[in-house]
Amino acid sequence: MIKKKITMVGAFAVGKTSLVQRFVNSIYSEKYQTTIGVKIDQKNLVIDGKDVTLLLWDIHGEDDFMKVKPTYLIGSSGYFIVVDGTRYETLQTALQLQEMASTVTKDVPFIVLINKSDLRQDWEINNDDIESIRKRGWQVILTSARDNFAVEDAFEQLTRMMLNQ
Amino acid sequence: MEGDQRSQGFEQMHDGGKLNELRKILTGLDKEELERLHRLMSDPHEFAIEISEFLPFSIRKLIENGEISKEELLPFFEEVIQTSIQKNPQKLADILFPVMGPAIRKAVAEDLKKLIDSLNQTLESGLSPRHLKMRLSARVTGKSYAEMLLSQAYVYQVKQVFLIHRNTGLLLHHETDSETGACAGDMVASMLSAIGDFVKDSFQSGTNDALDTIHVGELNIWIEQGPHAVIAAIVEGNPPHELRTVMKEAIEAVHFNHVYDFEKFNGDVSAFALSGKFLQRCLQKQKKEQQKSNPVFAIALLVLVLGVAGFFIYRNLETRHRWNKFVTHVDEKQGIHITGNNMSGGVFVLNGLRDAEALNTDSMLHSFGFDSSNARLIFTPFISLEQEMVVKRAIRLLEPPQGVLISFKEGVLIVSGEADAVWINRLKLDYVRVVGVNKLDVAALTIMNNLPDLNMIIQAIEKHRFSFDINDVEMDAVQKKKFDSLTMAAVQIGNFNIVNHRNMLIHVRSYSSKAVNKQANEKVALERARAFIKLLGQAGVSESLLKAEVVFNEDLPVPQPVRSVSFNVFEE
Repeated sequence: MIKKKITMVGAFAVGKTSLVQRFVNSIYSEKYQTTIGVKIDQKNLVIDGKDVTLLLWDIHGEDDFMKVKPTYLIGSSGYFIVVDGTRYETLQTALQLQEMASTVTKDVPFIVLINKSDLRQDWEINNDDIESIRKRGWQVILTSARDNFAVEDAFEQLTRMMLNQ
Repeated sequence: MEGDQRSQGFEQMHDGGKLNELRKILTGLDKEELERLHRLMSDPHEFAIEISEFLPFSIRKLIENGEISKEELLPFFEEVIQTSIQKNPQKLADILFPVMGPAIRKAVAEDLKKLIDSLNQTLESGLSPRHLKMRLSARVTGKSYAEMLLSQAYVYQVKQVFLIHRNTGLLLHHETDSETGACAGDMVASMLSAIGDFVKDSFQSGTNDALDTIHVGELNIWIEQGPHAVIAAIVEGNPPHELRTVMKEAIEAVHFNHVYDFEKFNGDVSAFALSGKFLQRCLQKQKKEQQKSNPVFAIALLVLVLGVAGFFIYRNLETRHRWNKFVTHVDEKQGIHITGNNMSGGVFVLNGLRDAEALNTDSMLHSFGFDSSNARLIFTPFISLEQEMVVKRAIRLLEPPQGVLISFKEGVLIVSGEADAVWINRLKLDYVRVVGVNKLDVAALTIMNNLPDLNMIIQAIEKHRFSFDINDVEMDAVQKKKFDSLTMAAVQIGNFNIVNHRNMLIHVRSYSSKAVNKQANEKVALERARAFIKLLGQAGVSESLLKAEVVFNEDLPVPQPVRSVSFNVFEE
């Protein structure tokens, strides 16, 4: 049995919890996020014939009042950086968080999820922005937690990347 | 064949003394011993008997030396027993019979003891103030009563132990006691790790400082840190400090045995399954000493149950006994014949035949304490020929006067005493109406002559005269009184005729006049006489005794008032 810790980071209200909720059935209420800044969920997967248990640490979104605690990223085998396509500033936050995360996690695999693709017409992030992220060598997936678009693929892809590392 | 040759060879050797000596020197055995060995070799039965003495000993030795294990022998014996049972189950039953009785007795006694203990414990836990308080606490705290009971039974109890990877917060292994259900261990472990990180971050404690205890109500989480992993024990109650030492030893043992696994750890937790034995050592508990209490509750309940059961059994038996007494009582009565006695739907039901003259069974039922709610009597009417019933029937039908006795014997109705001739005559006509009576015996019955003198009767009749208005026979109060007196006298004339075989008649004379219209007057007068006869008939006087007659005043020496009626008695 293989167990992996995955962390969800991103700015406030980018849809981290919604993405996790799409993927798992949770037993903890979200009040933990507001009290200690993290909520943990679990998902069992079979990837390429291997049983994998994912422990998803859904970290409170960074905003002006609360910073992401780096200690929650320690021990992660992979992480998602979640961006809200309709808010350009969340991309800026994502870039800062990635810098911090790569330092803490020692270059484990990660994927940038540009969420809310169901509101594409309202996006402030354009294709050039996305292309510039990809040029950094980062994996980018456009997702929609509301429409359940590409959510499962994103988790499976990150799991594969973690297993292949 | 080979055996025979060998035997012959032995014979020859027997003859040869030298050869025998040589053989003894070579083999160390004399002739008898060789013969015995030969017998054993040639006779399998004798050989089997010979080795049977050593076989059990040999098998035991083989088992002791480990050359044969009991596990290897087990299938063999199981197969033998199974074959034996399939072949003849009776045999094994016979073998087991002497031990079965005591074994069953012992098992029943054990179970009974357990039952009483359990009953007592249940009652005690259900009714004692301490446990009622516990139930209340369980309700208030939202815990289950069983959980509450269990927590009270121990001074402390380690319910779960988690081995958590320190860096990732992943659960490496999880042990739980048998009474606690499995929980989402992975998430609990991660959450504990997150809480540890949170506390560390929040209070800016040093790198070597770590969270080692969390208190949640009556629950304690003891955490013991190691370089790569931590042990978190979920403890209920107040654990002793020694538990910390046990946890320390456990985390040390885990690290000692999994050095390589920790160094190469990439999320695969399979290797840590072996750490279970170290974690299990932490699953400690200390039970509270319970005072051995007397089974007061069990005895009280037993007495109560026995009391209630006894009461109902007694009531049932008493009711049944009373019912049986009632049935016997009823069955003894003449005119009643019981055909069935059973119970249906909790109600006693008595079926039978009943003569109309028999005693009232409903009053008997009530006198025995029953009513329609608990007893039902279903009687079909019938005519009983029993002596008492025939006599009752005769009395009802014949209405004997005072001084007359009626009895019945073998179909004969025996009437004795003294009665007037009228009743005796009626008796002689009516006795056949009494069912069961074939013959009448009046030998002991004497006629009582209570009739007044004929002249007195005639005078009593002839003294009366009634006057009416035109076309009317209505009587006033005075006339009605006279009419009753006339009626009594007229009845006596009838009786006189019966007793004396005479034919006295009462002429009802209606007076009229020939004046104006004789025929019309005669007709009206005759109608009046007939109307009077009818009145007498209605009063009980036989109309055969009465005769209507019209008398004209013109024919009389002394005229009588018209529209009057008088009476004259004549013998026809």
